[in-house]
Amino acid sequence: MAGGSNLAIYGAIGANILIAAAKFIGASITGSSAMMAEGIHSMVDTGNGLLLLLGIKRSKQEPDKMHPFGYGKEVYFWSFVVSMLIFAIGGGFAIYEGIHALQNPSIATDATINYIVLGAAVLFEGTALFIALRTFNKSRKGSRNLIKNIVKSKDAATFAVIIEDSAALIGLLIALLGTFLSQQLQNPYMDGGASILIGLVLLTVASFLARESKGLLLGESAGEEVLKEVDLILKENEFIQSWNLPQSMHFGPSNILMVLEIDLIDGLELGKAEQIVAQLRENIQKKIPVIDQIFVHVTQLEE
Amino acid sequence: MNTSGSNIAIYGAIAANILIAISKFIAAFFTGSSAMLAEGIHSAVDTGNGLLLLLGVKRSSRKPDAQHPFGYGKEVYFWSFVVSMLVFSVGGGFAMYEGVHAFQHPTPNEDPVWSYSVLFAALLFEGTALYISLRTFNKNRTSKSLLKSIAQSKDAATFAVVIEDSAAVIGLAIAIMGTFLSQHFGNPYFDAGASILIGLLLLLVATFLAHESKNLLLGESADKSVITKINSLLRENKFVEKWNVPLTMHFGPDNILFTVELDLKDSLSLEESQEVIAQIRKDIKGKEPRIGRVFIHSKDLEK
Repeated sequence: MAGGSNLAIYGAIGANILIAAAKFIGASITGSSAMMAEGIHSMVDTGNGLLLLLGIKRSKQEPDKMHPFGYGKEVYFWSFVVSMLIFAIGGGFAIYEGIHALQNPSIATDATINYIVLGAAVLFEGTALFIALRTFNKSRKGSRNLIKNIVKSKDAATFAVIIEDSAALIGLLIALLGTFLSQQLQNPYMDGGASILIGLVLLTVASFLARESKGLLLGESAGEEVLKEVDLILKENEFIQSWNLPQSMHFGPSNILMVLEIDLIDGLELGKAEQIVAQLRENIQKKIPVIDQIFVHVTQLEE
Repeated sequence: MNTSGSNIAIYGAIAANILIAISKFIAAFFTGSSAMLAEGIHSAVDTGNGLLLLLGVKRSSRKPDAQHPFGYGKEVYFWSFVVSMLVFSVGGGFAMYEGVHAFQHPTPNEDPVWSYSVLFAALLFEGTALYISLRTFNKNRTSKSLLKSIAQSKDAATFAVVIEDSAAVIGLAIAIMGTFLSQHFGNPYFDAGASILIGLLLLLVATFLAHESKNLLLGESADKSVITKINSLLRENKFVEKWNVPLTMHFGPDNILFTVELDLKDSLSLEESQEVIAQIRKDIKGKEPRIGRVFIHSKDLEK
């Protein structure tokens, strides 16, 4: 799973480096400062991909005294940081560019370079989005609705890339439309309007990404399928009389902490009971390997 | 218990910032200084930081639900992190910008009376706020060194206020020095240098606050003193043979998750062992009321 999200991130980094190069070349030919600023923007996007990689790498640190449950949530933390950067640098920057363009309206005499850069960027971002979606769809279950799946997903690095790539692609299409309309209608305000629209798209997706990473940072429960599977294992065990709803928390896409309260049938020896608990733990971890920490508290549950 | 304490510290910070913002706006109105106006806006943003911390404290007390079975305690840590980002960008970035701007356009300060009045009023307000927040913080202080105590503290809202107030007081002292030196030597660059120094200070403390809130968000263990207390409790229990190091995590200053694997005397029956475990659970919560959830996994620890 982690290998999958790495691939999606590498795709995003590769695309953004190529787009930054295209924009810088375009800027050096046209001398456009807007194109230059756009190039810097793509370099920041590249940095976002590196931050996600950093998060994945740091999430694998071994638990220590200060963090006995490990560092899995590093991924969620860095996804949140990326969302703030998209909000401030992506969204803020595009809106600033738009307002600046509306105050100093101008129509490019020759839009060829713009079209080439934007077209190349669509190609690169499209490829990156394709790779990211293919990674994401592998772990996608049930619902066909992409947004619903992202809300349910615990793999923040992958869905951060999908959100970023989709927003970039929509932004590029808006930019193409803006350039086309300003040429066609000879209306200098179209370009500035397109920039502001792109800024609004980025602010929206950044807020969505921030909300999702925040939920995971605070501690989200395992998904319904996992809980159902655990329920099934408990139901099949003849020694277990009753149990409370398991409490669980994701520390990463494939690290779940689960605590269980169960009541065993009466008349067992303690040694036997400990054996049953040990087997139950092993059984759950074997069938659902994403549950990597499990505590079984045997207690008297009132019916 | 701590919550009301950190609330007092936050209210102190909010009140101080409102009063400072008003002083700056009044001075800006009479002098027409745009720098003073910008400073007033800055204090208004600082007021907003206090409100965000209050929001975090309030949201953290929400009841657990299916999606967040361990509750929302970490909201406090999340909003402290957001505040650290705002201190970094709005506080630090803004002061640096003001300083660089002042270097590029040095204007000799004609009458420093307004500057001095505002700075000393601000020093009075921030000093009072710092005194209140330190009194709150010292109640649960763990070490003689303030930095060490902050690093060990789990009460992010309170230490965020302590850090913010301390930085503000030091910043004001630097600003007074800058004003005095540029008056004394007739050299406006002292003023600009002071702004940049204040900016660096804010970047530094914001990074420290970000680091501390991040650690708490990822999941920090309880203090050694808490573990020691529980260890001695387990040692005194004649039914407990041995146990592994307990795994703990703070969800808020007064909200600890506690899990331990222990081995009970083999001669016990299952019913007796359940009674022993129930009693240990009760004892642990009695000894350390901040421990909200206890899970005891009974296990054969003979190798």
